[in-house]
Amino acid sequence: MLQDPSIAKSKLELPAALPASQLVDFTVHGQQPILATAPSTPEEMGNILKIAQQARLAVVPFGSGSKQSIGNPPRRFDLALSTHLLNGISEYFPQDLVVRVESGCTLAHLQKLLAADRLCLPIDPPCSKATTLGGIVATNSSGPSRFGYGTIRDYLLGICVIQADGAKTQFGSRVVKNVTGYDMCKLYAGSLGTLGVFSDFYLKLKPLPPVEKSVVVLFKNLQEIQQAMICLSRSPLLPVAFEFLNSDALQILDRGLSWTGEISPYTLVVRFSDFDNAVDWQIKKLKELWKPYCAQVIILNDSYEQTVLSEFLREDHPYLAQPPLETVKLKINILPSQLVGWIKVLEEQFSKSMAPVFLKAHAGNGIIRVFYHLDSSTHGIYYIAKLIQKWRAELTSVRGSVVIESAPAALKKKVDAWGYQYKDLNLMKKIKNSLDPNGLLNPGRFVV
Amino acid sequence: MVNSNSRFPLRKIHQALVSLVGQDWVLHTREELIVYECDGLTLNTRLPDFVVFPSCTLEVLQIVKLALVYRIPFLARGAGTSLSGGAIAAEGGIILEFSRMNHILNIDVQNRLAKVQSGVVNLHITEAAQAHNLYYAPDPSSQVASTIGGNVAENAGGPHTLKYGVTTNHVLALQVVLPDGEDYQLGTTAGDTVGYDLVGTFVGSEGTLGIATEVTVRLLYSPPAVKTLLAVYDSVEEATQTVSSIIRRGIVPAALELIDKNTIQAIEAGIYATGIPQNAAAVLLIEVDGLESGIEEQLDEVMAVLRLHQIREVRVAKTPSERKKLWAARKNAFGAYGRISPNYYTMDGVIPRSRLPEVLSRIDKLGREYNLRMANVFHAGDGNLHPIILYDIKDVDAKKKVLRLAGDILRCCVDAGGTLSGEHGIGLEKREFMSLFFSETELQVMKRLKSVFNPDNLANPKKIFPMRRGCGEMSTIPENANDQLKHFTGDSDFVRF
Repeated sequence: MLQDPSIAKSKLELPAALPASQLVDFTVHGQQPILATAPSTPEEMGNILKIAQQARLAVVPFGSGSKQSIGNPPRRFDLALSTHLLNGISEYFPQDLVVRVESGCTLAHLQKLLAADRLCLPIDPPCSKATTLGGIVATNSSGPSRFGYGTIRDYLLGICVIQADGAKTQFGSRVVKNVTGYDMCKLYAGSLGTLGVFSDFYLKLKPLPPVEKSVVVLFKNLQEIQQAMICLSRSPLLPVAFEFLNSDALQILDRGLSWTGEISPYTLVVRFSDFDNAVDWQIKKLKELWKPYCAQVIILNDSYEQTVLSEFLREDHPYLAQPPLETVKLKINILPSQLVGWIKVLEEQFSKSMAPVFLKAHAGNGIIRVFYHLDSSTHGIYYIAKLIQKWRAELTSVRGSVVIESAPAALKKKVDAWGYQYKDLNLMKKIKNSLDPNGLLNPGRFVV
Repeated sequence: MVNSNSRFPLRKIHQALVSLVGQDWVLHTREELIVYECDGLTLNTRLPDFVVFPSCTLEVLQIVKLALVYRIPFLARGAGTSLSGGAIAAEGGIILEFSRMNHILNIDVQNRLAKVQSGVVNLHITEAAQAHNLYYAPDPSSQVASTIGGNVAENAGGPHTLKYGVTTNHVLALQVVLPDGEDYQLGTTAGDTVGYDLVGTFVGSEGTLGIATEVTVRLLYSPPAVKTLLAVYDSVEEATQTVSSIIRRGIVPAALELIDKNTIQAIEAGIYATGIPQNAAAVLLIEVDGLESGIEEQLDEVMAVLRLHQIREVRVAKTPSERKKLWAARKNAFGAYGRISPNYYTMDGVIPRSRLPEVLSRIDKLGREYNLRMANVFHAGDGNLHPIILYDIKDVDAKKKVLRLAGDILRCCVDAGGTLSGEHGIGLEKREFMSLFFSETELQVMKRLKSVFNPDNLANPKKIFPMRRGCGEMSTIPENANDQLKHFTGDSDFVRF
């Protein structure tokens, strides 16, 4: 009699296996794995992947789980490979502005260590407390400060990757400039754990800026926003963050802050990091530049307010729906100059929505994040699925995209999370096949 | 036809190339091809069978398709300034010369982008954008000649990449022709790329994954304020210690370059002389840039560190023309070596910047052991060394000695936690050293990636990957008798970097 393959798999003996009672903690898109392990060394991780390869286990690499909602549901899910025991800071070279950290180390833990030396890794992805470096590299996750500092891709100097067959490999190094062989760090950053599992990284660091201040600027209409953006792009100002919020998003922000300004339809938030006088000069200059267009300028001097503002700009949780409503979170990639046009389109399409629709954008980067609260019991799913497809078609001329970052299962079932249809998709498929020939790493979740 | 014993039907290929681009744009005689027998790496030479000048992506595509039909190797060449042999036709074949594809297609001021054909010279992008106060940041010293296509292939650096990052940090999208005979758009200017980062993978692949035909780069706003200073030292070690202290304090200047005594003497003997004291052991060229307000604070930070070290004098450039002169001296240092040595070999290695003092003194010791004079001018802030080995080709043992010393220098870099190249690439030059840094498995992973793009190895063959087992020898092309070190005239077309 044929045995159920999942029973055979569950009896496999894996190093660093976790008890069955913990499997529920590794649920991804409603699917629970058959096995879970938590290696504490790269070698152990290699052994596990070797066995997984032999037994053809489909593996989902797992950090804090804060980004597991990204992508499509796994086609198969046998083994959760947790990095939570690979969480150390292996080497620290403050004199070189370089650190080596294991993939399960949280960003918060790393930043705390670095701050003691007035250094930082200048990225601010969401889930600031839980998110691990492994998860950030796998998703190339970023926040508002990407406008001034870039994303993790720009700070990844070296990477230790356990290949699909368990072989340990390292690319790059602790030096800050390197063209020895292919730039594999770029290939792995943002590959969603589909090409190998990361055990540790060499990262480039930056000094903490002497002063950081944000300015919240309120606008009455989108034409004024457009003018303000053009004006800023032609100025020497060097903001490190440049964010757009619609009125629903501003209301959330307003609840956390104490100012008594009016809720205006649109807001731009600009953050400067520099020496004291350079920050002040830029704020003064910005006020002059935008005076003809804006309704009100609020300068946050209080450090508590700064922190609250940064958190609201960075995190997703303030914008998530309460049951029975569910959140559809979209990431729309456009040219920065198209922002106003797309905000108009989005407002129009969502004008009949009863629930608030939060529109946040990294205005200077051309990335809009939509938080739409959906009642799954209605025709909502059908409606938004159609919209996403329509927008994707409209964005092909600029090679833009609409990514469903998180959504109820029913929507992801209807529409692919990535919708990537450009010609180079076939190159991506070939890369995946060549580095994970049996398709065992995060199968089905990414574009390939 | 140059090579009558060729394994390729050269006559047929010639006819086909002529019918694609016209007779004027195909070179095939020895006299015409000789210019293309090497690039900035004069250690290796090999004549291509053809040099073709495409005028557009479609022609590049057609030439590549033709190469596939005849299974003849092909590679792109911009200005030929590669110092690792990236633009040498190591197995003969077709060189696609990009000098006709030199059009700036679009400067998008609001989105701060420039879309250009890949034969556009690096500096020309900045020149086209400067009316809008924008510029293209990566500035290899070859920037007056080297093309953006070559910069993409090699992931070129330069002095100001310390603060602003290298080529890969500034390229957003590419149009490429791949060895499968298809053209592709990679990356996007619209927000984030979805899927694997193929632009990041392609940049720095040294022509082994395909040919970029159009490049879209990010432009930056030109910093309104710049301060350049020169710190003069009586000891190299004190200068390298200063570099380490600057970085350790978390100060990242726009540029931080070290010029040693031999280089100073070469510069001061030439047309770019700036009055650096010729008896100085080393100078640091330090630049900070940014907004007018804040620039003094940046300068003060640097000065505070300088005061902790023994420095003979510090000069701050007072006028833009003084600043220009200092940079001209720095960027033309390589050409100046012609004045103090008949021949020289430019190396490239990178180490953790805190280890500069010990590694430099080790390299100095190696030079003395080999009885070869050395000079150094490099991106100290990045830990990116450029030891220059000075020699005379008339000395019969010179070539062997130079190559052995070069090998020892690379080992020294890797031992210190560094790598084989910071910005010049591996190319032909260092492929046999790859096993110093990569395991067999790691090389296999990269080869698998290469096979996805270039399965028949027709695109720029013999580059990056070692041909032999074992490691530790500088490569030359064995089948070519003409593999000697070539005399360097000092005023060559090659802009060295």
